[in-house]
Amino acid sequence: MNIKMILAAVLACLFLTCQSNPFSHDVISGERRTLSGVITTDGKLPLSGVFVWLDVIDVAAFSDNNGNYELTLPPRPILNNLGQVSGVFDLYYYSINHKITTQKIVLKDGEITWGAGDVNENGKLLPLFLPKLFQARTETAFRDIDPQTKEKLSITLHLSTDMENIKVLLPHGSPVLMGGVLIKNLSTGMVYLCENPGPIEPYGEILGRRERIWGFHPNFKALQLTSGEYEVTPFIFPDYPQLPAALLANLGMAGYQMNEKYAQICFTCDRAVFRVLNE
Amino acid sequence: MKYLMIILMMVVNDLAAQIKLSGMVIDSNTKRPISNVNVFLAESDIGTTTDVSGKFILDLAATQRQGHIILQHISYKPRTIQVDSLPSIKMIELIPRVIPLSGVEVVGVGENRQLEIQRDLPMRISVLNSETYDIRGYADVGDVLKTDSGIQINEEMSGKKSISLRAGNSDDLLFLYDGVRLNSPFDNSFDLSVINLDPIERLEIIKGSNTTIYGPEAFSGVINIKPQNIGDHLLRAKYRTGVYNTQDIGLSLYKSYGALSAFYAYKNAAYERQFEGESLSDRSLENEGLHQYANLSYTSDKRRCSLLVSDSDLGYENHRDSESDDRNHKIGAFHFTGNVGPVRDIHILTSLTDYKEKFKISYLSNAIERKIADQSIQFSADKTFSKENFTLLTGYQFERKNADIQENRSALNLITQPQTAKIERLHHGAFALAKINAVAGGPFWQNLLLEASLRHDSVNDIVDSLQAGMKDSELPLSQENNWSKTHWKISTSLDGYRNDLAFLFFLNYGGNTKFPTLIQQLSRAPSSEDDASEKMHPETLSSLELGMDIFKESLQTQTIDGWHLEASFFRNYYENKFIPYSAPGSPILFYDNIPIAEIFGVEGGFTLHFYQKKMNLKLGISRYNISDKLAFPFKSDLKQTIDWRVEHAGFSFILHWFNESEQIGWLRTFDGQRASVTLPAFSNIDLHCSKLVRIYKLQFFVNLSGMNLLNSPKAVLQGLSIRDRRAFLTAGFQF
Repeated sequence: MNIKMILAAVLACLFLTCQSNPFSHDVISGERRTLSGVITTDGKLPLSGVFVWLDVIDVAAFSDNNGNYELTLPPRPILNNLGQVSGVFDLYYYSINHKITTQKIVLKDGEITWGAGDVNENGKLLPLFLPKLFQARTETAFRDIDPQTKEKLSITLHLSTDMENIKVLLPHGSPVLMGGVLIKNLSTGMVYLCENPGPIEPYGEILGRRERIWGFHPNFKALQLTSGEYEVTPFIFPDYPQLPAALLANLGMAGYQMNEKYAQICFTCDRAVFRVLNE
Repeated sequence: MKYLMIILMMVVNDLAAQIKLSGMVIDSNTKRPISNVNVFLAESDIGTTTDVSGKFILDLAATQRQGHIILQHISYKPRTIQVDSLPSIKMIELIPRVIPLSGVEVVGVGENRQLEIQRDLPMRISVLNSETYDIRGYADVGDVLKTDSGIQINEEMSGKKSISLRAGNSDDLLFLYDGVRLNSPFDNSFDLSVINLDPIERLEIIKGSNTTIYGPEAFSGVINIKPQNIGDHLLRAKYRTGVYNTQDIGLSLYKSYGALSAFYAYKNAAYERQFEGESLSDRSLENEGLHQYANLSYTSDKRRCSLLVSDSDLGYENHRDSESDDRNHKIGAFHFTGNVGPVRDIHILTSLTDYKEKFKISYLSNAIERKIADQSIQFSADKTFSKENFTLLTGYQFERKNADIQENRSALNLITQPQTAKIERLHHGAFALAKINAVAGGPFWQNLLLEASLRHDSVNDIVDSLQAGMKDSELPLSQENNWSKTHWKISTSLDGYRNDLAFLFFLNYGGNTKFPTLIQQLSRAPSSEDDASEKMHPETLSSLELGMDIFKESLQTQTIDGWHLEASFFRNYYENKFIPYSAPGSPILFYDNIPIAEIFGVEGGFTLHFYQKKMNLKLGISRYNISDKLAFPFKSDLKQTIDWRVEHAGFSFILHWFNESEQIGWLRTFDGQRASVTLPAFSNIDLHCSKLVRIYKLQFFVNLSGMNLLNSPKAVLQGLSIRDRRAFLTAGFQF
C-alpha cells in the first residue's frame, strides 16, 4: 500500500500545483490570409511597382524594390456572407510594359488554400518572371527650361517592340499625339498630371520593330512647376481586353482616368529628364 | 490467475439466518467498475445486478452457504465463485470476451442497456463509450468523433467544429442530444463545440440514412449524444491543462435516493492562443466556456422519467481582428418511458432548446454585427406493440423551430440596410415500423427479421426577410412554403450464434427527405412573378446498405482471443441537391441545383484481440466514390485508421494513427468555369497514456495525451486543433 500512497501523494501534488501551465506557450500563425511572392523580369532583375490585385476580393499591393509583395485578405467573416466564399480567383500582375500575368488563388470558405492553385505548401506564390513587351522612351526638346521664356514643353514618346501583336492604348491620344504625361519632381517626388483635353477614348496601335513616335506639347505655364529636376512618364496602357475594369478602378483609373498612382506602376521606360531653372 | 489483481473491499455480514453478500465487480484490464452484471446463486432464482459503480448486495439464507455464485455479463466471460470464498475477494474481476454472450438479458438498473436506435431498422452503429474518452485530452465531442474512420471534421479559428460523415456535407447529418434535435433551421448545421464532453455517457454514430424514428435531415447519418443520468461517484473532479494555455476544470456530483437520482456537472474551460509576430496587446485569441448540466431522474420497474437541463456559454475574442463571438446554448428536456395506466411501452419526449449568438468584427473600414436567435420546441411520443414474433412501433413527432438573424454590415462609409431573415417552421412527422421474426431459435441461426417502415413528414415554413442587395430588388421577401413527403423503407437481418462464432448480416433500403433550410430558401428568392411560380422542391435521397459483422473467439490459443470483422457497403443516390454560395462582399446568395449525385462506398473494420483483450489492434478503412465533387466538395475519399490499445492493471495506452487522403473539390472560377482543386493528404498520430489508481474509496486518474505528434516541432502551429501538434495532461479523482 505504501507505493500507492506515494503515488497518490504525487498525483495530489501534481494536481494542486498545476496553477500555471507546464507546457510552453505556443504561438500560432492563424488563418491563412496573406499572399506573398517575388516578381522578377527574366528571372534575375527584381521588378518593383508591379500592381498585384486579387480579382473579386479587390485587395491590392505594389511590389517593392526587391520585387517582393505581400497582400492581406480581410478576415473570413468579412469575406464570407451568410453563405461561404469558396472559389478560384485570379491574382493579376499588372505593369505597363511587362507581360500581364495571372496566377490562381484558391479560397475555401474565405481562407487561402495552401498547396492549391499557384500557392505552394508554404503559402508562397510560385516565382514569377514577367518579360518585357516593348521599349519605351521619352524625350524633351530642351534639357533646361527657363520658365520666363518657354510656354510649352515639347515631349516625344518612342515605342518599339521585337514581338508580335503588342498593342498599346493612348487615352486622349491620336496617331500623332499622345494624350498625357505625368511629370515628377525628382527631389520632392511630387507628381503633376498633364493631359490633353478632348475625348478620353484611347487610341490603340499595334507596335512593330520600327520605332513609332508620338508628340505632346502641354502648356508649361499652367503646370506652375517650381525649379528643380523633372522626369517625364508617358500616360499609356497596354491593351489587355480581358482585364477586369475593377483593377484600374482600384487604382482610381476607371476608364483610363489619370491618377497620381499611375506613376507607381512598374514601367520600364527611359524617361526624359529636364530642369526648370530659377526664376 | 495472475491477472486477478485483488484490490478492494467486500463485506460479509454473517447474521444468524441470513448472509448479506456485497461486492464490487471490475474489469480485469481497465479496473473500471462494470454495471449491469447479473449476479445470482446457481440453481436458484435468487439474483441481482450490479449498479453503475459495479456494486451489488445479495441476501442469502445461511443454508445456501455451500452454493455457488455466478456472475454474468454480455461482454465478459462468466465466472463462478463459491459463496464461502466470496468474502475473501474484495474485488471481483471479470475477463472481457470477444463475442457478446448470448442469452444474457439485463433488466437495466436505471438505464436501458438497449440503444434507442436498436428499435429502428438495422444499421451500422458505432458507439463510443465514455471510458474511451472521459479522461483523455479531448476538448470536445468533435475531437472524439474524429477518431472514427467515416468522419471528417472541419474547424474554424473560433473553435467551431462541424463534421461530415460518409463523404456527405456537414448539413447532411442530424444531431441529437438525448433524442432532442439540435440542427439549426438556418442552415441545418450544428456546432459540436457547444456540447460539454464531461457528462456524456456515450456517443452513438449512426451511419446511413435509413432511420425511421429520427426521420428527415439524416442523410448521411445521426450523431446521438447521450448524456449521463447515473454516476459511479459522489464527487468527481477533473483538471486539464496543455498547449494553448488550456485550463479546464470539471466537477460533477451524483447522488441517488432510492428510485430518484440527481446528477450535476460543471465545467469551466479556457484556452488562449497567441499570434506570432504581433505586438503584445493585440495578439491574443481567447476562448472561454462555461457549461452546466443537471439531470434528475426517477426509475422504477414500470416507468422511467428524467428531466435534464443543459446550459453552455461560450465566448471567443480575437484581439487582432477586433472579433468577438458570444454564444449561449440551452437545452431542457423531459423523457418518459414506461406504462401509463393500462397502456404499456410508451415513450414521450418534450423539449425546448434555445440558441443565441452575438458576433462582431471590425476590420479596416468594414464592420459586421450579427445576432442569431434560434428556438425549438419539440414533442414526440411513440408506442411499441409486441406479440410473439411481431413488433410494431408507431410514433408522432412535432417540432416548431424559429430562427431569427439580424445583420448590420458597414463598409467604407457605406452603411447598408440591416439584413434580417426569419423563419418559422412547423414540422409534423408520423411513422410506423413493423418487425417480424421469421425464424426464431435454430442451432446456429437465431433470428431472421423482416422489417418495413413508413414515415410521413409535413413542413410548413413562413419566411420573412429583408436583404439589402438581394436579387436586384430591395423589397422585403415574404413567402410561405408547404412540403410533405412520405417514404418507405425495408430491411432484413439475419444473425447466427455459436459458442465461438457470432454472425450478423443486414440489408436496408429506403428513401429520405431534407426540407430546404432558410439559407437555401433565401438563395432561391424569386426576383419576378414568373420565378415565384416555380416551386422549390426538397432534396431526396434513396439509400441502400449491406452490412455484416463476424465475431470469432478462439477458445484454445492463449495469445489471440479472437477477432471481429465489420464491413458495410452503401450507395446513396441524391436528387435535387442544393449548394448555396455567396460572392465576396455582397449579401447575394446564389444556389446551384445539382439534379443527381451519388456516393457509394465501403467501410470496413477488423479488430484483433490478444491476451484476454489486454491488447487490441483495430484497423479501419473507409473508401468512398463521389460522383459530383461540386455537390460534395473537399471530402477525403479514403481514410485509414489504426488503433492499438493496451490495457493492463489500470494502465491504458492508446496509439491512434490516421490517414486522410487528398481532398478534391470543384470550385468556381469567377468567370463561370469550374476548376478542380486538390488539398493534400494528411496523416498523423495521437497517443494517450493513462493510469487509474484506487485507494480505498478514492479513485485517482491521470492521463497524458499527445495529438498530431508527427507535425514538425519547428513548424509554427496554425491554431487549428485538428491539425496542430498538441499535448494535454488530465488529472483528477472521484469517490
